[in-house]
Amino acid sequence: MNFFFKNSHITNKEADKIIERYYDGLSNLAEEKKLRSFLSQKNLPSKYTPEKAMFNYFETQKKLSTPYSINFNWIRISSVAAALILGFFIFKWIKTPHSESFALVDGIHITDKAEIKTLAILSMNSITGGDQLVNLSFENLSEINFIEQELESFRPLVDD
Amino acid sequence: MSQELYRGKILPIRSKLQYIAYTMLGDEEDAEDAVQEILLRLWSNLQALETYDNPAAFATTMLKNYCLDKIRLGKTKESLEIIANLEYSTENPYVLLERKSTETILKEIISRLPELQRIILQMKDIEDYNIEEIAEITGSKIEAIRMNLSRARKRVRAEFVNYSKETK
Repeated sequence: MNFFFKNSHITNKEADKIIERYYDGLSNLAEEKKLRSFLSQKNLPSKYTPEKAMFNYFETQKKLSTPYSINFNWIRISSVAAALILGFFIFKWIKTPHSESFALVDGIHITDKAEIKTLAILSMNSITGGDQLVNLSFENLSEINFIEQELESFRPLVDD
Repeated sequence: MSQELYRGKILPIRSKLQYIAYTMLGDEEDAEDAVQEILLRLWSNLQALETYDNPAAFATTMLKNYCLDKIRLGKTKESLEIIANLEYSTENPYVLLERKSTETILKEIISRLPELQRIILQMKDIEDYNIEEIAEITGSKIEAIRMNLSRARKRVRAEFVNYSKETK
């Protein structure tokens, strides 16, 4: 039985030669591609059934094994991209002054970071001055206590 | 990293492995098949190789065990064919496979191939390795790989045709 195929397919005779080479492990990739194309046709003689089944099976297995690697790569790429985007937005959010970031100094609303920092340092200095004042008061307090203790020693005489 | 380990530690001892296999099996072709199979098994599980302190010693032990199994089971070149035929005739997989799809049938047939043939067929026809690449991985001659590939393909075809006849 003779079959006529379009120019894109090899003839039965050519296919037979490649099939023979295929089973001897001698066929190359180009020949196997031609054979695959030939076997993908409908209404082939039944003698090609085993080769058709085998090539279909190999193609299915290739497709089954490919999506996993693609998905895996996509997951990896997506994870890295997501982390980078998230990192960028967090960095931008931290660096950009927004309405929630302000300080009230003597009732004045300040958002400038440098200005807030300067005022904060100044305030810290004044707190240091406060410490000195407290220490001085403690010294005075000690003196007052001493005077009271001295007066206490004279109290029995006053009471009598 | 794993591939480097394989090339650096395993491939250099190929001739040693070949000698051990030949000493144990007493047949050059069986020894070549044994070495090919062990090397391809190691290649297919490269990450596990990293877990061993001495991968070369591990490969040697693996090969020795493989050869011992072959000897115990009498799976030499000739007896392999006989056992395979017996298996097929007694278990009659065609009955078991009846009404299964073509894909399932081929999967079953391929899974029943001798392991070396199955691995080479899988690598060449599904994973798209070149014969030259497989030969490089196993340190074998291209002809040795081609021979096992040819056996595997012919056997799959023969089993498939047999199955088709049985179910008609």
